[in-house]
Amino acid sequence: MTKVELYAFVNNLRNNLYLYNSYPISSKAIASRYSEITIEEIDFSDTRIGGVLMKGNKCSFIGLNSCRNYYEQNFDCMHELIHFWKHPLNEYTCYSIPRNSYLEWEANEGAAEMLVPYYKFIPEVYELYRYICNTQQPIDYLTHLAERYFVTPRVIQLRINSLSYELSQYASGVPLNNLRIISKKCQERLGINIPDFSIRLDFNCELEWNAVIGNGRC
Amino acid sequence: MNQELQKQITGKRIRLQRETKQLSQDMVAERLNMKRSNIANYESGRVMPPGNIIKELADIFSVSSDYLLGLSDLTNQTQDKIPSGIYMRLAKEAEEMGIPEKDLQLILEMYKRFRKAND
Repeated sequence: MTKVELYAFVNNLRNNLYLYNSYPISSKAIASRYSEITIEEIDFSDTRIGGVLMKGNKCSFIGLNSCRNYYEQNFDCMHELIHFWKHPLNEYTCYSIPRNSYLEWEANEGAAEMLVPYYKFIPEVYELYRYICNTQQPIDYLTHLAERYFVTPRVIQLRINSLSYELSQYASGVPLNNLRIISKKCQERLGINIPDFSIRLDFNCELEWNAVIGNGRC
Repeated sequence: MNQELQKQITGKRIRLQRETKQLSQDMVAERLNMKRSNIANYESGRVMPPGNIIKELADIFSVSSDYLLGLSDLTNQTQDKIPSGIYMRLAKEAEEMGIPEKDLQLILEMYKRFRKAND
């Protein structure tokens, strides 16, 4: 499944769950709509463990790490929900710990798109970028956006990085509906090399360097 | 439950499980490293098997000790026991990801609750 297909899958879920205008959203509240899902808080000693999903025919269990804060749990729970919706494996078990695999990419990217949808996020980031350009004042955009979407600043940071190509298109005047949505890996294959958009938000460094080297891009 | 009654129930359940699993008394005796006559005595209710033998019989028949002792009518032990394949997979993944043993135990306890809910 490509990034654009994954986003379409998430959008379909969002519509079915009537979440389109319900942001910020609580993953636990969404999970609680499913009578077959039991959510447990587990006192793990390792804070790296986000969650555990055990998916069964009758009942599924999502275990969330009680050591993690509300925003962290919100992402962890959505990560497990994406596994639940997307990966219909009997007795599937997932330790939500950072690791590279296709299923984990789908769960992470899908959770990010559900909690921080690109169609809302990109215009907001662009507005912040314009504000920073106009005022030349650095702002704590990570915290601002994290609180807006009930996620951690780290999720916002990764989201900006993941959407840098789409953000660059939007900044160049491409309408939201016409954005070309492609994953980082696909961008690499196509020879597209767009720097992290957060560079533009962090004190406008890129603009300054562009002025020095004569690259007129803004 | 008096001891005589418990011996009778345990004996009947051992026989039932042995026959269900299509095992002879000799085969069970060999697994337990004892004489066939011991198994015959257990099954007839003449002798009550000691605790360690009950546990070994429960493992051989994949039932709970409580069932053999007549303390529970549930034969299936899956509520209390994690299949070795699942355990190995969970433990292997946990080891690969550096999950502490204490946390693995919490995951295994969760797995037991999950299995119970799906039985």
